[in-house]
Amino acid sequence: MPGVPRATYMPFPFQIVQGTGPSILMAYEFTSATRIIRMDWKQAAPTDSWMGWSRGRWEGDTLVVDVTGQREETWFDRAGDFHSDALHVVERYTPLSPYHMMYEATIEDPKVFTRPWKISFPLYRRMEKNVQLLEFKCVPFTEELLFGKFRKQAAR
Amino acid sequence: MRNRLLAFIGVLAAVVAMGLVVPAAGQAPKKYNAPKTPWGDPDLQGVWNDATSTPLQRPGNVGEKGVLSDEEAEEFQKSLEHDLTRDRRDGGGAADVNRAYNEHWMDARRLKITADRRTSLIVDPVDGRIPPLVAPSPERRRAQAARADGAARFAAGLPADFTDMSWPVRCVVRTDVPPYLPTIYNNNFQIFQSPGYVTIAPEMIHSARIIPVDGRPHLDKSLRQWLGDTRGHWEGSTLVVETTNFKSEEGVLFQGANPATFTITERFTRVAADAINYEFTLADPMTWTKPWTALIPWNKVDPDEQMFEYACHEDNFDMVHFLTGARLREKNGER
Repeated sequence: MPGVPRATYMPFPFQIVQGTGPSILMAYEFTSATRIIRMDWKQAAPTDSWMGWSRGRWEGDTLVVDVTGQREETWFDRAGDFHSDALHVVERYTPLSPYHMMYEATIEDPKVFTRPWKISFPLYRRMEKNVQLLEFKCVPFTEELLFGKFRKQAAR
Repeated sequence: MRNRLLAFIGVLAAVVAMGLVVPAAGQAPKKYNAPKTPWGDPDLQGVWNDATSTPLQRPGNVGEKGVLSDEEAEEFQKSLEHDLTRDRRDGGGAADVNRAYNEHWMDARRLKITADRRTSLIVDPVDGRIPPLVAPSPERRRAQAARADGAARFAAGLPADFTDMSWPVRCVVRTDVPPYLPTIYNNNFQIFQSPGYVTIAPEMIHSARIIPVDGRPHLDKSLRQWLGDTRGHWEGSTLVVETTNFKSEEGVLFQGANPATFTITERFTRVAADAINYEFTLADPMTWTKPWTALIPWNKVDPDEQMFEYACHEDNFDMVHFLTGARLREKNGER
């Protein structure tokens, strides 16, 4: 799983399932990763995880998501840079039109970066008729690389 | 975590092998008016848990009884609990060690039978048992035999390569592939709804099953997925879900059903503020002599209990351990 904010800008779509419950689901096509944004969670992350622990709140029309508890093993970005377990990301999703949102993430990681910094980019809604996320189970693609070398060799 | 799966597969195998039978008078739930979402769909949202000790098939020791009296139910539950719990010391040290794993991380809810005191989760056929299997074609027999050979090598501690492990051990699919059956842990499902969609997030493994309920057609048959392609619609207060386009790998579907001819229909009906009836019907003329149906209660989880991320593959060190262990054993002369 990619972690946050990397999940947001992988070259694969994601879907936001927002109903009336106390949580919003972010479903990513990449590795079929998911994360739950808890709108009513006040305490700290109860444990570390690959996608982190996301606490949401509204500031006007902006969904603000505070993400902590990310395991340090995930790549920080697509170039493979690193982050630590102290990574703290504050995301802001602001609708601009029925078809656009602005995404902003403030990145703070005192063990890695000397000061907080921001990234920002627009998110475009996929408008194809009947658009849907497809499955991306990545495990079958990794197995040869990870486990192929342990295959039984034919007797010589 | 992976290893626990072995135990889980063992439990399933035991349940299937035990010679279980069926029953049931599908309990007609009391009329309950499910709450509606603001856009008018029945509201299924929340975190639900499907753990139970009630076996899929009716066990032989209850005769033909589909539903038990209170007294019989207590006895039934006690006996199942004794079989399932790891927190027992009988049978000597070796048996105790072989029970492996501690009870505390397993789902305690799996030690209780369903509230309706049924003797099997299967409600159709009325004997509570999976219908007889159809004799497989020579081609399928070969594929099944190849899978069984791999499973046997793995069970003997000598897997030849990673393909000898089952799909769940490899973290490709677990309880996220329908039908959803209770297991020893991670029996949680969170349902999210938004206009046009019902989404089920199974805890194990972290996928999202996004179900369009807007009448759109299925994907083209050529596009196949491990978890299939799902469409839903409402029949009264029941969400009816049809899933097609499963991948063709042997051993992914229940009892090795054939993806090309397999159909599954799932029905989700909220029958109380804290309960959903989850019913599934499996049909495959190449696997079972007739379709069959099971009903599993989903109980609402306390709002303070959260769904947690189940990252299966990311820490799947057992794969390397199994394989390096096998290579070492071969080096030492074991075959």
